[in-house]
Amino acid sequence: MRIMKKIIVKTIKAVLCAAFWIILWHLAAMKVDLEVILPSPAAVTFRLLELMRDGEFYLTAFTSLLRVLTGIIAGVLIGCICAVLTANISVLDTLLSPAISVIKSVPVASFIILLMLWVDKNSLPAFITFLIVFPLAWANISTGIKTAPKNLLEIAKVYKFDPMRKVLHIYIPSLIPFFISTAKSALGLAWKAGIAAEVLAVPAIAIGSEIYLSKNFFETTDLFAWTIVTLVLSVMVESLIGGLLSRLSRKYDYRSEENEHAEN
Amino acid sequence: MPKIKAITKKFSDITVLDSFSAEIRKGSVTALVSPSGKGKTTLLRIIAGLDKDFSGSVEDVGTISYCPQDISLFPWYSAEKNLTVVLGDSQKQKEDIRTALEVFGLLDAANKKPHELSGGMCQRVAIIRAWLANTDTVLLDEPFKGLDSETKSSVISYLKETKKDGRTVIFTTHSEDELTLFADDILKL
Repeated sequence: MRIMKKIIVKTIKAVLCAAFWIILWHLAAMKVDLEVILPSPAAVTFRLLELMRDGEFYLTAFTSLLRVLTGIIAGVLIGCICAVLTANISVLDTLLSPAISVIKSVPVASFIILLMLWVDKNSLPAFITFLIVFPLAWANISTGIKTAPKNLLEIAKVYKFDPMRKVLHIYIPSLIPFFISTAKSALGLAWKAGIAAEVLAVPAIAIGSEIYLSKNFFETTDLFAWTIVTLVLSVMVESLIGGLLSRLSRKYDYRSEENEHAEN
Repeated sequence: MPKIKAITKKFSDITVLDSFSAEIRKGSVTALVSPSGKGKTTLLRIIAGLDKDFSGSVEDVGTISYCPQDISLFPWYSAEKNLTVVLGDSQKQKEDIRTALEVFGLLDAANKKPHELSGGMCQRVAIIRAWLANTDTVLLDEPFKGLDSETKSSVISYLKETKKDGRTVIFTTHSEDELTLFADDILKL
């Protein structure tokens, strides 16, 4: 009952918050009174519904979704593999650390423009998403591996755990919080970078290309409509992955020994 | 017979063990006693193979199980899973684990994770883990610290009853009654 009440309160709060911003947006649009500068929420909604009647809309949204997801999955996977390698091979850590720092610091736009020369424009957004996610995954998972509980590793040593048992019973459970933190920070950034790459590379079918065209033809309503589509897709992916991660987190729910003893 | 030969261990400039030697009777329960900070835990860690930075040698200890002072249970697993992960989950092991949990008054807590257990309960799980491992030497670092006297005597009774012949137990303690109840030999540091 209490949970139900909490959900209702949360929903009401979300609706009221959304209503506040939509009203504010509507008032601003009324004040500006020029669709090319600021279209009204109603105009954007109508345009969105119009776009949704066309089959190409779904293909465009799905293609962009696929590109961003490919970048996220590749970034997380390769980031994890590199973290494991650099944690175990110090030469590799010395070699890769500066490269990863460079990737983290270089503006995304520079990478996009550079990669436009090297990579097919249809693959570019996935590459850029990968470049954003990879250093985050590597950094978080590396920290996780380095801070794996020493006392449990000692237990593993005394009881002669083989490497697979160590990974399964110590490293994976202790890395879960780091993995969750990677996913949380990577998801939002991945969409921003992926769509930015599409805007600059203009692949044949892409949300970014639609945004680019709307800019060229001063179709601000289209820009808003496609931005909302991106937002919805991003929220959907975040909810889906967030749900999976919180299930994982619940499975390995634990508190540190400091808390444990403080409580006793 | 397990032998400790001329072990010297320093932490920076402080010498904790200075050419310490001893022979421990095989199959005995040996209590390691000394004032606090005189190297009992360090010696157990050296025997367990966890501290390699020392001079001297440890011989004939065979396979080892170890119950550290900080307990070191897997925080993401239940008490029972903490035991099966280390000891194995064959039918025989599961039965032994259930029996030990019952004797140690932990059967109701078998499915609880360490943060849901008291310090004393975690301590008992860690003792079971070291005890049920099929090893030649068991090292217990202050195993009964924090246990009330009733629990302590039932735990010690169980350990004495189930101790295999030829298995050597080395434990550290500050308590006189633990020496009387459990130790065959006393080794002063």
